[in-house]
Amino acid sequence: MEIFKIAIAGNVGSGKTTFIRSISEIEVVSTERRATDGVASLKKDTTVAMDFGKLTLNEEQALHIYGTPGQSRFDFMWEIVISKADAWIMLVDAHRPEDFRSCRYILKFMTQRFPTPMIIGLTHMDCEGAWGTEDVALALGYRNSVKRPLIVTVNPEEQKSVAQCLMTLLEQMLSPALTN
Amino acid sequence: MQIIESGCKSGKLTIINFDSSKTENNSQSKGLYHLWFDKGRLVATTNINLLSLIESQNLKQLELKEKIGEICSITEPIGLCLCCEGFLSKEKLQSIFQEQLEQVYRLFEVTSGSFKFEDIADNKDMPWQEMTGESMGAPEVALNGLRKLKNWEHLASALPEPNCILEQLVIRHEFKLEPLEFKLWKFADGITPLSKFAEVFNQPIAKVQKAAYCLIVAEQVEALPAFDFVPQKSLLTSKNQISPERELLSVGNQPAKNKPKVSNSFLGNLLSFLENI
Repeated sequence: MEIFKIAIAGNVGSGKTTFIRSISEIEVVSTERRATDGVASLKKDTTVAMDFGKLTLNEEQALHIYGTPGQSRFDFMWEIVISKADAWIMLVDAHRPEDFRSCRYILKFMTQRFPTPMIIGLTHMDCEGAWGTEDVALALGYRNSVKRPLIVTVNPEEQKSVAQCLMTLLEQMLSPALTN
Repeated sequence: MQIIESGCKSGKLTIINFDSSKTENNSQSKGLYHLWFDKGRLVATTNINLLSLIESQNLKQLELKEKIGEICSITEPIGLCLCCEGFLSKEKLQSIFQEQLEQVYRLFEVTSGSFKFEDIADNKDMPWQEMTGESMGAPEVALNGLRKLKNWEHLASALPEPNCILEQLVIRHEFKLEPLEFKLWKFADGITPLSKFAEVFNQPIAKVQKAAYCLIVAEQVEALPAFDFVPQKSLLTSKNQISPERELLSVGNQPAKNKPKVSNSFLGNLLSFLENI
């Protein structure tokens, strides 16, 4: 069985679990627990280990999607999840600029440690106060628009949008410049 | 500040200090502060009228207003204009700008608030009447503001952890670093944790964390997470100088050895599958 593994990383509330739920054919295997700290002001439940979703193409091929916990105290899971992935997507909540620094931190850690194909998905772009793509890119430390990962807008609640985000990642991996 | 500097932005940064009503009793009682930037550099604050600052430098306001109307262009910093015409010395101009900066530095004491940056497209919208003609880069403003901070309680959670490691972001700096900051920057090798620096420099770890934070905010170094980190050789330059963009170039542009194990045909199938969702 050929399995393509994609990890979804990002801060608390960036939409990782929702992203996986929107595309998975199975009920997402989630390790959400009631948030008891500052996270409780953002959402009732939060992922503490990982989420798992799946799409079966045929008898021989499947896509597995893993979501990392957003809270930094579970950051040891980032390494476990992303090191096993063939590609990953970093979700960034565009309307929470206070989180950009920690997103930059996750990106820095992951891109150095695991040079795996990845793109950045901006969520909550329709919310009031959402930053534009270029400003978020700067906040994430990308000064040069050419030398940075692909940044796309994604609505984790919409299956089509999630599918489009995954397709962008796959297209990037399939582009001739990368496969030659 | 980093974004304003990185993006060479021009516009108005509005800061709302939620605590200010308790402490301020002047024109800032609503807790609103306006900072103006031109191409990433702080050029004015509009909370204290520039003319009143100039007046305090022994120039009569009425006389000033008349002169300004006669000699200054509407798109020219008033301070610079008065200086060129001999009404203000360069030293006085710098001292006035310094007064404006002191207001900005105090904003680093704000414990809760919000901010908004509004780009300006047209130069005419700049507050020329409040500009001295002097300017300072956003990272330097941030660095100075943090250095003056006495109570760091509200920033405690933002400080890098003792086992955090630092990498240099710049080969040389445009402004003067304090001795501890300079040593941290110089020896930021992407391997040594802050706790080790504290030990070697014989400094309290809290002091080292604060100095590191100042350098991070001023974009002189980058903090890396506190893991059993082994930097990849390919990402390091010969002199421990790391350009973030070069590192990030590897993202989505992987060398052959890092290609995923799955076949292209599988990826193609997956792509078609997703297209039909």
